[in-house]
Amino acid sequence: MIRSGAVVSRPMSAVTYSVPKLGRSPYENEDSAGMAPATGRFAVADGASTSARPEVWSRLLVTSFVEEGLDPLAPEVLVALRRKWSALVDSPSLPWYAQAKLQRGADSTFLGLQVDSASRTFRAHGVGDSCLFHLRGAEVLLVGPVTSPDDFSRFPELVSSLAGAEAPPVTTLSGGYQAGDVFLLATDAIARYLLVTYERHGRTAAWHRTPDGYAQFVRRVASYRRRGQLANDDTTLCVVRT
Amino acid sequence: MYSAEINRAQPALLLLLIDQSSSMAGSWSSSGTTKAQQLALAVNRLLGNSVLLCSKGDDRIYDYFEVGILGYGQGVKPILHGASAARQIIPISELAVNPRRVDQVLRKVSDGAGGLIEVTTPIPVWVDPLADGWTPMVEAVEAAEAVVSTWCSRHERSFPPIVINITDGESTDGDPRAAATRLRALGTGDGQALLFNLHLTSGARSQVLFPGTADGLPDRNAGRLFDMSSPLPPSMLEAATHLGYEVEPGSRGFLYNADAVAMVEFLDIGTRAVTPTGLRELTAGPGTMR
Repeated sequence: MIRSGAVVSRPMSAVTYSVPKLGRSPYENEDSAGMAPATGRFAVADGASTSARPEVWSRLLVTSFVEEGLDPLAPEVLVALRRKWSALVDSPSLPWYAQAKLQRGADSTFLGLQVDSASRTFRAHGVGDSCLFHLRGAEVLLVGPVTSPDDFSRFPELVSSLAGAEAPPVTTLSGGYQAGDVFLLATDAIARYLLVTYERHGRTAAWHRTPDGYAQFVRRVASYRRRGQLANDDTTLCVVRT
Repeated sequence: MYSAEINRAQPALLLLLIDQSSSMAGSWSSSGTTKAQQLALAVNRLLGNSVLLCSKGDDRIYDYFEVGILGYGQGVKPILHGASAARQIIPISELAVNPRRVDQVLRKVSDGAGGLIEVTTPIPVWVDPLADGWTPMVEAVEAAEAVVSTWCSRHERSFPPIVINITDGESTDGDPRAAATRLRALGTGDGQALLFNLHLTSGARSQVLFPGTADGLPDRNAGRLFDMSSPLPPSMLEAATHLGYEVEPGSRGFLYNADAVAMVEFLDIGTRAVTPTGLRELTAGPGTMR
């Protein structure tokens, strides 16, 4: 488990991009991402689009980790987050289908990364198929929890907002890093694309090495989607440069 | 094939053919209910789940599906509120706001702290049990053929239509297999229309789920319904496997004498497997589907 609280860190830079699936507005993007270079905390979460108000749930998970310094997967934190989700989305004036849908809860993946620049170590933990990449140049030193493009299941583990839902199994990745290394936190569509290019070419696509710019990211996503190389899904990438 | 994304620009068609003949008043299995009652229960459950798949948990309903129900007994006619002979298909957002009534059921759920709390769950009802008339299945399948043909011409890029026929088996206007073959030959650019059959019975025979051959089916009607049924496409095979059914390529979308759970899951497979981004986002949590 990642300890809560502030961490003294050397300056890191980070940038987050998120593009909704084609045909949807940015307000309909159900991925969430957050970054706090000062505390070395970064997170992404992929709300399951057929669950209830997934954008609210994914945002709560990310905010809890990045802004509040908590571990949203810790049982006592999860209980509080579930109550918060319910309070945010529930209303007696909702139509029958919204009420019934909310009773089924929201589902989301979660991936949180804690980088400790003092000890040059990192620790990530999460649920589901949002992936961490640890890069040195074009070399992938570590990737997970999914390690091959063929392993993206149609049934990833998800964190449920339902009070009685079982706690899903948590995957942890950790290690050391060198200054200049890059971490990517990616939701499944772009994570799969990165793994495909790595398998084919022995290096990752250079999304993170191009000049930062949301417009350029959007153009790239659109281009890869057109070519069928990127699934039409909400697409989120958080780039952390140490 | 069978991989078109379903979104609001290219919705999927869900068309149900429901047997409302007199014989549906017969008892269903040994449950104490009639076949017509079980049919209504299963259809309302399917429609309710389909609406929920398109709900975001607030006022929004995304029109991923267009829905129609043709009842056959006293003739063949569309039975959903808002549908008519001239408009047999309605968007699911219209279905959502027009159930005949919404029943409320109390149920107990976990409070997350080891206890249980009672919540009221809305149960919408679009179809009431009806058992009156003959079983003009040929006419029903031909009516479906006309609906599907028109729909496909306007939705070339959509996932192919899913037609589910629910009956107790005995067609009274002839052999429906030729009409079924024509129906299955229709389709979109993403594949041929899918015709599935759910055979309700009164007997205590064993259930037969997703068979790959007609071997072991007990009578001529079951054999005909098997012949009429499409093989499950890969995404639905995967869905069935995930739910614990033993299926293999060639398994048909056909259930004989299925219990209530299998029936509801069967009906769900057709819609869940083709929902935007596929099944991956339809899990309630580890290893479960709702």
